[in-house]
Amino acid sequence: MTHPDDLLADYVDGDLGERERAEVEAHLATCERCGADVRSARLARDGLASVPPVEAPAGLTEEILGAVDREPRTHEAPVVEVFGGRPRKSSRPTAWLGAVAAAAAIVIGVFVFNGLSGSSSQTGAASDARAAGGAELAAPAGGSGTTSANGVVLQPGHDYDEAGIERLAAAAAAGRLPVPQTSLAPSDEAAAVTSCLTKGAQLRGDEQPIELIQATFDGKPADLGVYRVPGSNGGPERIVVWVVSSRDCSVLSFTQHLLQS
Amino acid sequence: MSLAGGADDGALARRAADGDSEAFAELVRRHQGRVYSIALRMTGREEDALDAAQDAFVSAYRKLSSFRGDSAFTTWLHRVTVNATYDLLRKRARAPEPVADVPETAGISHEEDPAGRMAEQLEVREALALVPEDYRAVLVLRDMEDLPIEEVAEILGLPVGTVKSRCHRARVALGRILAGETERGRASEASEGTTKP
Repeated sequence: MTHPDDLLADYVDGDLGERERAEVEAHLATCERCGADVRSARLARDGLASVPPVEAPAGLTEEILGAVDREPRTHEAPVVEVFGGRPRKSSRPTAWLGAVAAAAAIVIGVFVFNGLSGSSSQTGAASDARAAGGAELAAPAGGSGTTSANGVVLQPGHDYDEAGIERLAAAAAAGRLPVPQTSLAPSDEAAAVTSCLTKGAQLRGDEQPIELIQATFDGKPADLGVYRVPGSNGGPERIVVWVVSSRDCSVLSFTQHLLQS
Repeated sequence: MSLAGGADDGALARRAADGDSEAFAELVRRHQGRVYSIALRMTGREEDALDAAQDAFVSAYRKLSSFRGDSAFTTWLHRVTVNATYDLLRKRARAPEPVADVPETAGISHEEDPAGRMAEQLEVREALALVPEDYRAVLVLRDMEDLPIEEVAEILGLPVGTVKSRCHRARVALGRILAGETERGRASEASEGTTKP
């Protein structure tokens, strides 16, 4: 049995029938990872449930109706996107929306790798990476089974698991990617992997990965995307790793690692 | 109360699409609380939540003619809200921040260890700000707004199975942060280490 993430959500919610619950419990008895995950998930669920309801501020109705009043009365043609696909606003000709889109064009840039390697040696993440076996991932291009082709790092013999992607994130935080991104050129292959990650992980599509990897995750063919994500005001940036299935782009895993800014 | 008060959402939406501003105002009054709540929990900032709630209703107003009534109005509106909030976060290009003020809320009791409880809630909000937006959306809709998984799937435009898996992964990610197993711990270690010799 592979890790039954969809059943585990229902299990934590107490929504499983007798038979499925027995199946999940049998799996939990032998799978340390899922056992730990269920404990984490319960902690999160209980924590979220403890947050009190939000009370809307006074005058909200007037603020909203005022904003609506300032809009010219121009109904759009029926918008199919409302019910189909990702809830993402397509670009529209309206000026203020154009300004939003322009402001949103965040370019993280493929050259951040250079910045990373220069600054990360002082971070806790960097020492973690070394302690956690980052050296294994620090092998330059040509390390065992690692080749790069057309912008995607191919690691056909490398099977990642949860711990593996955490090491990858830590290694990326320490500026030690399997292949320095600067040696990878944009290509159709990279675009295909990026598209699968964008679809599966529900990314916005404008993120620039600092590494794209094809390998396996828990034995399943997988695409891995390593991203550098801005932090909150003045807070640390993060390295985020998404793992999606190469077959159907579904999310297999995710992890992140903070960088000290 | 106006005549609009007794009508169902679908009827109000049709009237609003035909230019009945009182019908639209009634929809705002009915649903602004949940819209604001989703926006606040997604963005983590009251100022951003206010902007996102306004954007959501402006967007809903512009799209009213595309509301076909084959889904609950609230599901459609929540989808527009999540959409507006994602756009706002993109515009801000920054991660959300934990909400500083815990609003006074009727019906919530803090009598046992109120300080500890407040600290726990703040910690949850801080941790929530660290998970990616797409995980946060599922956690906000499912575990904070307490919406059924099927409705969350419809709001996000994803298959139910995908939402269940994502919900689990998102909870695990948040739980690890809360337990100090991931970057929260590392972050504090790192910041303490900034003034090292």
